[in-house]
Amino acid sequence: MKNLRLKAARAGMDLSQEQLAEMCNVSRQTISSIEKGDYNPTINLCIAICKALHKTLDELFWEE
Amino acid sequence: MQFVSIFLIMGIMVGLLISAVLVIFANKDKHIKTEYDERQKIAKGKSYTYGFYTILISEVLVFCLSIEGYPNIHIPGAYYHMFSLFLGLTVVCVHDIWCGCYWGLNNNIKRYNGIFLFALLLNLLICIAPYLVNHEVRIRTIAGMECYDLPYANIMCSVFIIIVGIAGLIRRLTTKKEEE
Repeated sequence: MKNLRLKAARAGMDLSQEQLAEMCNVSRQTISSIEKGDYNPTINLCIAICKALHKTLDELFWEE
Repeated sequence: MQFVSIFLIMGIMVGLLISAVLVIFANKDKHIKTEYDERQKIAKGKSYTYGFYTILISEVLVFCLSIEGYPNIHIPGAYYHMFSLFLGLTVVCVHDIWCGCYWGLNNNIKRYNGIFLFALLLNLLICIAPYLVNHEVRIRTIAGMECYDLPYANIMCSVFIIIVGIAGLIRRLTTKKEEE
């Protein structure tokens, strides 16, 4: 399932996939895969993404 | 041990040494080890699995060929094993490219592309050199078999680099839409 909240949060901070990837120390393709729902990140990467985007885990990764 | 084997081992050792130096040169942090993220490590694991099975199957086929007799196409039998290695390596690299894990986090892609281009040109030069010098492809006897006197390892290496290049190009074109 696509993670549109992550994409929206990233776009909201005016960050490209490349920039977010650099902040989280992962590749651009990994951020792209998470946004497309092709890859389920580990909790460590989720936390790194949340910190970079100033969001909580619930806001970005909790499925309602 | 035959001289051919000694030269082959020496060639592999020199190749490994050059590769190590080039990897240090092509990594942004000047380390010999390339860093990958968690998704890339998982994807690379799958690549190695597919590569392993490719080599396993092709080696079984080569083993069958060695029993039944190699086809009469003037290629030394030992190079069938090398072909199987290159086949496995190609599967690993193409899968890596497709999963976006061919390049690590600390790789300088432009430098890597330059190195690949240089390696391709060098290999192609070695491939055509015998023909340029002799104006014909000579035949010599290797392990009691009449074979074309060609740099088979360089030919396979050139084909491998070309396949990797084409795969990278196709992947780049297909993922261009993802990029902002």
